[in-house]
Amino acid sequence: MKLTFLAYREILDDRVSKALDELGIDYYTEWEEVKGKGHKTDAHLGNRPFPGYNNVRMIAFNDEDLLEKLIIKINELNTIVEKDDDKIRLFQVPLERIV
Amino acid sequence: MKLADVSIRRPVFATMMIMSLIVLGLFSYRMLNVDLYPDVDIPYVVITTVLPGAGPEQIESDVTKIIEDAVNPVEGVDFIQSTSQENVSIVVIAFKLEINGKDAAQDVREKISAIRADLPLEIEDPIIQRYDPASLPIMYLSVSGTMSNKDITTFTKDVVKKRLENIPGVGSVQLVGGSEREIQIEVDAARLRAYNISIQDVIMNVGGQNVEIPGGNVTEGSRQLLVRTMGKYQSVDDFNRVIVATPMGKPVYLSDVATVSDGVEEQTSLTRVNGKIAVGLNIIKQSGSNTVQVAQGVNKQIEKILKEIPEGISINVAQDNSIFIEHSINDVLFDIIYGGLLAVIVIYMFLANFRATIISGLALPASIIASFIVMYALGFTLNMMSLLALSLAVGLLIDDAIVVIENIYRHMAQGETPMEAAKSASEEIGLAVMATTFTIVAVFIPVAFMPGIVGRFFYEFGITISAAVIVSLFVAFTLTPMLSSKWLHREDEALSKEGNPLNKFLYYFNHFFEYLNGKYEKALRWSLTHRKTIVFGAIGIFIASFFLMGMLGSQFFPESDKSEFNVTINSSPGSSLEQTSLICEKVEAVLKEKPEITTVLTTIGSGNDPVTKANILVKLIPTKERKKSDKQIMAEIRSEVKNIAGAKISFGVQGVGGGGGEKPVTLSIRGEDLSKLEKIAEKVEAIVKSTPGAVDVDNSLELSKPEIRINIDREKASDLAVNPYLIASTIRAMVDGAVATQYKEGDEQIDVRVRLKKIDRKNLNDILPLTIKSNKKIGNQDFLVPITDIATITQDVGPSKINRYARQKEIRVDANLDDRFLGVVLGEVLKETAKLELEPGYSINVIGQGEMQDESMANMLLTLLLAIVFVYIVLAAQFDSFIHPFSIMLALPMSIIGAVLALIIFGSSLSVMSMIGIIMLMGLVTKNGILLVDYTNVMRERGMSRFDALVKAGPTRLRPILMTTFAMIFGMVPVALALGEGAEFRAPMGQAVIGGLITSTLLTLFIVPVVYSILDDISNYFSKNKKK
Repeated sequence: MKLTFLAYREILDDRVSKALDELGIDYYTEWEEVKGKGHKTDAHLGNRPFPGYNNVRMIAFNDEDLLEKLIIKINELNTIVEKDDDKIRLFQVPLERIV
Repeated sequence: MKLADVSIRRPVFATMMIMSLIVLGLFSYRMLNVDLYPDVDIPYVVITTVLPGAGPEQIESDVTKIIEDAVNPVEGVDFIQSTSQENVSIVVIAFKLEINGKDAAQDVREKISAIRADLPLEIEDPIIQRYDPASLPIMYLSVSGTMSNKDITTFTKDVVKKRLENIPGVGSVQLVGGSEREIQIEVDAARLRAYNISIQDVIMNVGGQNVEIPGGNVTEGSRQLLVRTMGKYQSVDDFNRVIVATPMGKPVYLSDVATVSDGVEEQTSLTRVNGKIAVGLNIIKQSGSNTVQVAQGVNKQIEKILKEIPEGISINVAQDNSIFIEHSINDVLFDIIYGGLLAVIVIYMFLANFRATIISGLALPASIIASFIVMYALGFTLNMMSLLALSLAVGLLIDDAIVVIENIYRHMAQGETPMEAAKSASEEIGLAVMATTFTIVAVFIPVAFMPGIVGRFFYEFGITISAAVIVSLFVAFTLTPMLSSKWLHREDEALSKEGNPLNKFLYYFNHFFEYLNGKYEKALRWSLTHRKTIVFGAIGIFIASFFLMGMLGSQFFPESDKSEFNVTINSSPGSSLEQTSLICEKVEAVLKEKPEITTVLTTIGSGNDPVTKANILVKLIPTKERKKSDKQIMAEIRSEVKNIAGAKISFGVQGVGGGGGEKPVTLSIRGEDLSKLEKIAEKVEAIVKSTPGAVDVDNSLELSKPEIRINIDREKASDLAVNPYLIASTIRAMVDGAVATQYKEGDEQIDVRVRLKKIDRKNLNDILPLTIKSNKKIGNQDFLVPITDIATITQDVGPSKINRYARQKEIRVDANLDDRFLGVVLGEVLKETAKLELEPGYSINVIGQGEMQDESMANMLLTLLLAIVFVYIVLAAQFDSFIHPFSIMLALPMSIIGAVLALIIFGSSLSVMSMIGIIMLMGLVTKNGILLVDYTNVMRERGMSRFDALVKAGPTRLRPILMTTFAMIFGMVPVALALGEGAEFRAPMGQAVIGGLITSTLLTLFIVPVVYSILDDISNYFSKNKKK
C-alpha cells in the first residue's frame, strides 16, 4: 500500500481533478490554500511578493498499478506546464495500514 | 485578489455582474434629462417693486431703502444690491451659498409683508422671485406679419401662446413687445376746466358705474333664484353715457368731457426681428423638464400652427437654446468617442494584440454606461459639466484595465497559461491599481465639494468622474481578468516584420520600445549613482515653473465663440421709444451688412427696462463656416457704430450659467455722496480707458434726466384742505393715466385707462390750472382748487438711475476685453486706482468676474491642497508607510511645468478650467510613481537589494506607465484641440492635463527612484540611531 501527496499550484486544481476522474480515483483528502516553497522554486505564500497558494491532495492506494497510471498522467500534465515553479509534485510514501 | 479569482472561476457570474451594470446604465441614460449646465441653486432673491410715475430719487428713499433695511437682518444674507430707476425699484439679495434658495425667498416674503404698511400706498404689490437659472427662457419666438400690431398681438396671445402653453414641459409663455388692447378715455383739459370737474371725478365715476354684485337668493315657491345686479358695461359705447358730475343738478356725461376709443396701450416696448416689427414669445420650461424635448415639442406645435394661421402672419424661432445644447453635447460625445478610439489605438500599438486591445477597450463603454446609474440616482442631468467629466475620464477609465492586462501579458510571456497569468497578475498588480484609482477619487471628491459658486458647477463633474473610475476599477478586477483567462492565446504574441504594413509597424514600434527600455535602464542606473544632480535638477525645474506661471494671463472662465453676441444700447436719458428705435435701426443697418450674421433680434424696453434701453441679440453662422471669430466681428462692428450719436453702445457674450449682463472688468465705487462718487468714477473711468485691452468702457451713472418738479406748498394745501397724496395721484392720473376699471368682452379683460388727451399732456400750462377736489365744501357744492394755487413748478435734472451695493450708493465703471486677459488688465487698472486718494467712507471694489476669479482661485488653491493631503492619506494607507507616499508624490510638482508650458503654447490662460486641469493632474501623475514604488517594494520583499529592485522595477513598469500615459494623452486630445462649437471653454483643461502628464511622466521615471532611495537612506539612518 502506498500513500501519495500531490502538491501543486491552486490554479491547476481543475486539471488534477480531471486526471483523477479519468483514472476513476474518487477518494482523496484535500487541503486548499496551503503555503509552501519547493527546491529552487518560488514560494507561494499568498502575499504580494510571493502571490498564490498551493493545494495538496492525499490519496491512499491499495492498487499500485493505478498509482503508476496516476504518475504517468501527472508527468503528462507537467509537460504542458512550462514554468518549473508550477509543475505538479507527487510525493510517495509506504502506507502500513488503513483502518 | 478575491474579486478577480471569483470572476475567473465563475465567468458567467462575472459577465452577469457587468451586464447588470450595463443594463441599469442604459436604462438610466434613457431617463437622464438634457440641459446646458447643472441645476445649481443660486440663492438670490429679487424684489421688484413698481411705483408708477415715481422718479429714481423717490424710488430710492420711499421704496428701496425701506426694503433694504427690512431684509438686511434675514439670516444668511451675503450682500444686497439695488437699482432705483423710473417707476421701479429692484433689490437683489444675495444669500450665502449654503442657504436654500426657497427658504431664503420665504424669509424675504415674510419680511416684506411685515413692512408693507411702511411702503407707499400706490405701489403695485412687490414681486419676490427666487433667481432660478432654469426659469430663463429656452426659446424666443417672433410673430410678425402684414396685419396691424394690435391684431398680431391678439392673435399671438389668444392662439399661439395658449397652444404653446399646453405642450408638456412648457412652464410658461411670456408675451414681449406687441400692443395690448386698451379702452382709452382721453379727457379734454379745457372742458374739465369749463365744467369745473376734477379728473378724479371722471376716474371714480367710470370705475364706480361698472359693477356686477351678487344680491343673494330669493325663494320663489320651491325654487331658489340668484339675484345679480348687472351694471357692467356691455359695449365700448356705454362709457360715453356715464355721468361724471352733476354741477347745479345738471348731468355732465363722459362724452361731454372726453373721447372714448377702443385702442392699444401706449407702447413702452418694441421687438424687431431682422428689421421687421414683431411680437415676441419667451418659452420657459417647467423645472426639471428636458430642454431639448420641450424645444422639439414647441417646434412641432409651430409647424401645426403655421398650417392653420391666417395669411400674412409668420412665426419664426429667433432663438433656440436647445440647438446650442445639442451641438455642445454632440461635441462632447465626439470628444468621448474619438478620445476613446485614440486611447484604444495606443493600446493596440503597445500590445499588438487584437484580443487584448478589445478586452481593455471594453472597460471604456462599460465604465461610462455604468456611471449613468450614479448620475441618475443623484438626480444629475446630461450637461456640459457631467459630460466633460466623462470626456476627460476616457483616458483614465481604460487605465486600470491596461495595467492589469499588461501584467497578465507579461506573466504569459514568462510561461504562464492565460488562466494562471490572469490570476497571478491580477493579484500582483491589485494594490497598485487600487491605489491609482483611489488617488483619482481623492482628488475629485474635493473638487466636487469645492466651496463657492464654481464648486456648485463642478459638483456633478467631480462625482461623475469619481463614479466612472470606481466602475473602471471594478471592471479591471472582474471583466478584464475573466476575459483574459478565456480569450488570450499565447500564440498571438509573436510579432513578425513580415506581412502587412500594420504588422511591420507594430514590429518596429515594439522593437523601438525594447531599445528605449534598454536606454532607460542605463539612464536609471546613472541617475541612481548621481542622486544630487537629479534632485537639484528637479528643484530647478519646479522653481522655473513658477517663473513661467508669471507669464500666464488669468481670467475667470475661458471665452468661447458661441456664434452669438449681444449689443446693448442705452440711448440718452429722456429719449422716447421712437428715438431709441431709430438708433437701433442705425445699428441694425450696420449688422445687416455682415455676411456672417444670420439673425438680428432687437428688443427695446423689455421687462422692467426703460424705453432708453435696447438689446440686440446677434446670431452668427456656425464657427466652421466662417473665417472671422465672434470677437473680430464685434471689433469691426464696434468701430463702425462708434459714430452713432445719442447712445452708449456696448457688446457682450453670454457667460457660464446663462448670465451675460456684466462686463468682465467691473469696478464698484461706493460711498454716500453721489457727487463725490461721480468725481471718483470719472478718474477711474479715465484709468480704465487708458489701459490697453479695455474696450466699451462705461459707467453706470447715466446722464441726468430732465424733470419737472411740482413742489407742494404744504401750508396753502393744508389751508385749502387738499391732501398732498391727492395732488400727486391726480397729476399722475393726468399725465400717466389711471386704470379706472376693466371692461369684459368674452373671456378678455381689457384695461380702461383715463388720462388727459395727448396734446394736453404735452403742455404743462394746460395741466396746472386744472383743479383738485378739496375736502372742504362750499354749501352743497364741491370746492375745487387749481393746482397753481397750492404748488409751484420748477424744472430740474435728476439721476436717471441710482445703484446701491451693500447699502451704499454705487457707481460702476465697466469694460469689455479685447485680446488681453482679465487678470492682466485688472492688475494694471488696480495698480493705478490704488494711487487715487479717497476720502474715508469711499472705496473702489472689484466685482463681477474679477471678484469671482479671485474667490474661485482661492477656493481652488484650497481644493488643490486638500487633494494633495487626500492623495497622501490614500497612498500612506495603501502602502502602509509614512515615507513611500512622498517619493510617489514628487511627481506632482513635476507636472506643473508641463501644464504651464502647454497653456502658454496654446495661448490659453490660468482660468477655472485650467486650474481644474492642474488639480486633476495631482490624481493622474501619482500613477507612475505608484507603479514604480509598488514593484520596487515587491522585488525588495522577494529579497532583491534596493538598487537592483529599482533598476528592475523601472524597465518592468515602463511599458504600463507609457501605455497609460499615452492613452490618457490621446484620450484628451479632442478636448484640448477644441474642435467643436464653444469647445474653447473646456480646452485649457485638456491642455493643462496633457502638458502636465508629459513632463511628470518623463521626470518621474528618474526622480521617483532617486528620491525613493534617498528617503530609504534617511529612514535607515533613523532606525539605526533608534536601535543604538
